[in-house]
Amino acid sequence: MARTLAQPATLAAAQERPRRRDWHGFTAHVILIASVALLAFPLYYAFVISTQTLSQVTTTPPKPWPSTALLANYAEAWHRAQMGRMLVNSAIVALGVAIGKIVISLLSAFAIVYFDFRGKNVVFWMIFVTLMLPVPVRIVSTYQVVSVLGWVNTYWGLTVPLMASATGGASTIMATAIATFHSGSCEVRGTSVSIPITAVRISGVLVIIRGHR
Amino acid sequence: MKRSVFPNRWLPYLLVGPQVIITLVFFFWPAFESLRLSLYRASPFGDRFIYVGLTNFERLFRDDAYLRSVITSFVFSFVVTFAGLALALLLASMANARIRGLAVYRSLLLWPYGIAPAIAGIIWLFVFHPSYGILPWLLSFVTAYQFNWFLKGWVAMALIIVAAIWKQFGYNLAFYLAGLQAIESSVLEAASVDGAGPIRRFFAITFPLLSPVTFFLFTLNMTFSFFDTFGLVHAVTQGGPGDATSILVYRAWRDGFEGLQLGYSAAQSVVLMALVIMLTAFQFRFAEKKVTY
Repeated sequence: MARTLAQPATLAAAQERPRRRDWHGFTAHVILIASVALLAFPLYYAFVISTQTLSQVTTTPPKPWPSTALLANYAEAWHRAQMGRMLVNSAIVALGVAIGKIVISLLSAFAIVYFDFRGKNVVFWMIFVTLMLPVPVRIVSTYQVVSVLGWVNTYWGLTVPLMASATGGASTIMATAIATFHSGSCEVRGTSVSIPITAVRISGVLVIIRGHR
Repeated sequence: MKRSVFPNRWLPYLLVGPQVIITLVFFFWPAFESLRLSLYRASPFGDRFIYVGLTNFERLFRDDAYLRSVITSFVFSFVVTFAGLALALLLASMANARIRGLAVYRSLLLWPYGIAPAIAGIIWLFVFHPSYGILPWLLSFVTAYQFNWFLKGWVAMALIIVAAIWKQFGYNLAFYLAGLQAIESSVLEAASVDGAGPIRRFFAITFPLLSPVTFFLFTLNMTFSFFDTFGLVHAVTQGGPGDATSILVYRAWRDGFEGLQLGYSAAQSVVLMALVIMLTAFQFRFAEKKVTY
């Protein structure tokens, strides 16, 4: 009955559709382009300022287009802030944390999914709670632990504690979830931790893992 | 699902070993250290710790500056979360059409998410700066009010709120767009046949069907603005002017590292931990009952 009722209306909608959809698509493009421009503006403005001399920057009508001091400014910043060294440091820390996290998460997720062993529950929840306590919350005591280990001022002290951070736990859980993708839920004995899995969520989590520090 | 299980006794322990050790040493040890330290006070030279019971907590809840930080934190997080989500949902529903190049738009909108909070703050600093920023200059044509975040607390707050929303915006938008496109158009067509206008359709159908996405984004944005914005505050305002932008995470760090009041800072960490645990418990209960998947 529902079908017979709906039919005339869908026909009408189908006739009307092409025109409406075009208009809709046009607004969509306008809105999206405006958002992209608005989102990019602060970065563009920061770049513009980086190409101006100090006097150009401080004169009152701000000039929102690039000037000539680009090379001089970047060369000075590179030397004064020792950016070469800092980039190397950042690369070491980022690669160390990323690789370390991925390796340990992969191993533990593999164990949780493909083995039954005593204490599996405990291990899973132990990793799960790291989601709840971001590093900044426990930063002071983490520093103390690092200093007890004698790791202050070392790359170890900068990287290893971050492997225990929330996303480290998250990647284990996600690796677990992805490994059990076809079932849609991950059974940890006793409690069924069902993580609703959709393509959207997984892409989101991948973005989190990629984008987070 | 039939899951293959390997019958090995020691291999699984070997596999979870690294994760467990790192979690124990760098998660549980610091957490318990915070709990323990919160009951102590460091001596003036930092060489001894004196047991003081719950004095640190008592002091915390009598400290007006701390209570102001609590309010600051909640205001900041709620504004960032609600304004950010509302803006993203509004734009997403306006831009929801099957158009070409959606993937291109998505990446062009998503890149700020990859920027560290501290850098996001610095980028916005240029826009807000009282002497060379473009925003105070533009506003000077409208009003004589000085939008100087060095002097006005709320301008500084606006600066970090805008930077935080900016960083999360593309991410929220991408999720809402994906969520909207997953809604069956037949449901909406049925509603319009029944005479529901666009606004009624949005609140009766679209918004409830988006509730899992909203819930996920709410959680993510709350945790982000509550905890991950430390770098933003530290790089841009350092909690100032006065105390206007010192959110809880920043205060805990400052009292510990700069004030060297380790016990007091640990007590703040413990309060934050309790807060996170409450938040998580609430999320799980809420997720099970109210959100329809």
